[in-house]
Amino acid sequence: MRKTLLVGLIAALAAMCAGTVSAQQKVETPSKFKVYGFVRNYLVFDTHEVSAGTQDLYFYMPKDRKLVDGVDQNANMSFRMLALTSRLGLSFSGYRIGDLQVSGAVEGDFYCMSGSTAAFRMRQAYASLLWDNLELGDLTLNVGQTWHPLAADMPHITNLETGAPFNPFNRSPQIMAHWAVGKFTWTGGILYPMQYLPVGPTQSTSPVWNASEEQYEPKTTYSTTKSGDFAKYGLIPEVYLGVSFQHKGFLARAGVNFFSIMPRWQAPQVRVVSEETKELAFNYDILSENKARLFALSPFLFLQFTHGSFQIRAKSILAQSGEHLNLLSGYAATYNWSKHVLEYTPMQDWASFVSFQWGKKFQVMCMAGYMQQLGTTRTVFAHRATERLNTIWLNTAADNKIQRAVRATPTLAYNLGKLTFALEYNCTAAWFGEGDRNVGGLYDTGHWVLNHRVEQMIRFNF
Amino acid sequence: MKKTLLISLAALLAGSAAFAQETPAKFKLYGFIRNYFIADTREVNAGTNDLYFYMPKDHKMENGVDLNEGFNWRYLSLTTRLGLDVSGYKFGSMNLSGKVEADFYSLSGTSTSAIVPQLRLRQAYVKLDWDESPLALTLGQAWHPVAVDLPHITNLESGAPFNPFSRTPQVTADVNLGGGFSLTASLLYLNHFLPTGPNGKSVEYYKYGLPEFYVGFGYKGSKLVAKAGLDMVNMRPYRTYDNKFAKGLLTTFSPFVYLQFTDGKFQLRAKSILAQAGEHMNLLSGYGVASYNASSNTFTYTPMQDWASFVSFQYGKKVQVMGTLGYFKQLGTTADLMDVTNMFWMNTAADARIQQAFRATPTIAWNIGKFTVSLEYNLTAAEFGRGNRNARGIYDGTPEWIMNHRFICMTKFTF
Repeated sequence: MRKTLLVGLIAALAAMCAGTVSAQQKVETPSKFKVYGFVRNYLVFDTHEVSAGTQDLYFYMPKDRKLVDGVDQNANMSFRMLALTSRLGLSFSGYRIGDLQVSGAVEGDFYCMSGSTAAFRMRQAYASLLWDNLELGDLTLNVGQTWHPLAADMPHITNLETGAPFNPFNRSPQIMAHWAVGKFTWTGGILYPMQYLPVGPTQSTSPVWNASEEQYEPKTTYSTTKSGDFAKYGLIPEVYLGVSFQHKGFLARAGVNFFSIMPRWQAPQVRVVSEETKELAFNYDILSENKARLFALSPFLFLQFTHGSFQIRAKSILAQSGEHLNLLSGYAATYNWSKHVLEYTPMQDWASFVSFQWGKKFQVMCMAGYMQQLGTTRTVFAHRATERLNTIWLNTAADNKIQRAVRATPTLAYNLGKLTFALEYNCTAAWFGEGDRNVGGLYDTGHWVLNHRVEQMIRFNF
Repeated sequence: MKKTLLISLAALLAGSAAFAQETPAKFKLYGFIRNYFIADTREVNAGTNDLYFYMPKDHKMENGVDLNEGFNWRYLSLTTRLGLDVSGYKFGSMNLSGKVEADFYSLSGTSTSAIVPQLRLRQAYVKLDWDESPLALTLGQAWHPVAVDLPHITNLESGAPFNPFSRTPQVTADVNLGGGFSLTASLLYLNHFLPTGPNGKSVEYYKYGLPEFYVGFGYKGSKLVAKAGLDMVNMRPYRTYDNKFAKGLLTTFSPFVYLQFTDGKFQLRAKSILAQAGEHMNLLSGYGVASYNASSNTFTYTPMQDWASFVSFQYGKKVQVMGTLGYFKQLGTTADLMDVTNMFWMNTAADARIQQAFRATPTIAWNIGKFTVSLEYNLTAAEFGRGNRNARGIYDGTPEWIMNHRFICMTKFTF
């Protein structure tokens, strides 16, 4: 395997050099450009308050109950109708210099809200470098921001979140090589987070009045934040390695994602209360920079079968700290008793979906998704409700008490050429934990909350 | 009507015929580069780096000196626009066209250092019509039917708040009734232009209410265009109150009439609207609570009524002379307010004390092919209420007029 990769790398470098030298003699073929995009309008109803982005179009999870006198104040109907997420893109292809072919795309949509206005946001911007007919197959190098390999294969669904958090959702800056040899394609590369960020601890210090001393004293408070800094100071890029197999209508992918971050923050000193009972506490008067590193490995498997107008897809990922993939995950603090230092342990999530699509003009689609937090890989450090510092940092996109969830989305679509009408029912049930977390970062008791979303979409592709 | 809809439905289904011919779409990139040089004689309530002029600010007296008086200016290329028109796509008997249009309008960054212009969505819609069918559908974000006809003016606010100003997500059906007459019906939501309420400007009041509804008739002849319509809003200002679900919707009716006459190089436009709670159309309006039943947690609301009107003209082609006269007046709420101080909400785009205002904008424009240079003078006088609001939301003291003179030089290269 190592030898094969080495030969491939040498072949690619040789091809690059050959392209550079021969470029001086060979004619350059200019690029062709194509404008593409769509106008998309969503009309969406919910029966419960939801955690969702982009004016509630990017549906994540139902909100927890808000019981007042036995009545759930979050159980009420709402609707919205928006042309947000309409998209524009420019793809270029056909550029050739020597043996090198270059194509790519710059793509954006009206997604971000700047006040009450919809602002244009970059979705993808990448160049795809292709050396074909090499002795060892075709080598493609994608450079720029595009879909994360774990997220690229999506379920059959029309709502904006396209399966998240039952499917990874992420576009990231990356350098990703795809080496196609026969029916196999070997993929490997590095990534950096941009829009989809990991979470971690943050703190702020403000003066608090001390009545006994009759003076203000600094007090540090802690919270969870999303930040690119955790990767920035981590220095090690995210790494993906995978392989695809394609034969006739069958496609299979398997891969593993390695992610390591360093959440630099001013952590309180750890105080050992009892060696016997392994009881620990924080001393908030002594702060020092924590430079522990989180390591996370996330293997996944994707299967797809296509026959005529029928297609079925299934994906399953065992994610560690997958919140940067928009999964309901994160990590926690743990104590290393041999080194006596504060370290991190990832929350493990199992997220899966199976979906199908049938038809061309009339399409029937459906996705069934399930996710469950499996707990952290090591014991969570002294998580007590009385601590000022919460030692578990989970995705802030939804209520962090959600421990498992299920979603079903039967969909009917009617395609008139480039115009699509779709009607989708989205039933999402989430299980919210109650009480305190156990040492695995999980709740032992909880309750289910259900949201029914009915969504109508009209899209004109151009 | 029923027959028309049936025919249209049949046409829609016919579009799906197994052998439907598909004609590819054509694309047209368009837009303009626009520069504004603007000077004001006093502080103003205005958006987008003061380009979107709304109203003059009230006095700010310190030691007998009005600190809001004083010359100020700005020079900006904001609002430069890009758009893509898609046309010519045909599938069976169905014709589709569309538009995606944006301008550099929003400023990114924090509220105190918003300095980087961002592309902001203005319009994104698709239009559908069918051969032999009188029905046309507009789906997406486009001009609000009440706002679409604008006065002859070059400043960014295009007549607001004397003319409704709103682009919204909508489903609009236009039915050609023959003889130049048409019927328009729309269901609308909100995006940029929001109503006010207990939690400030927010889309939430619509989210928990019902879709906005518009119905109108139009006539288009060789020289005359006439429109009359009614806009209806049903929104829920209080979703919960006193930790319980609140009942009651604000229901408003806003009729309007519009006339346009064109003869050669001359064009005259006039519009008048009697708006109820028209702040979602950028009018200086609002609403309040009329009554509250504690036992059932039910609110009844009463809208502020505004009469807003303009008349404008344009003459010429290479050298154009334009002028707009606008007037608006708050007429009071339709019922007595329960709590004028705490349960009465007005548009926050300008000083809520403004009760009536007047604007005159003589303009000269010089068109050199696709390049336009214009000079505009904008005189806006606003009457600020004094004293206290009465039960209908009108101030009972002696009002005071405050005036701003705005001078605008605009250059625009359209491509």
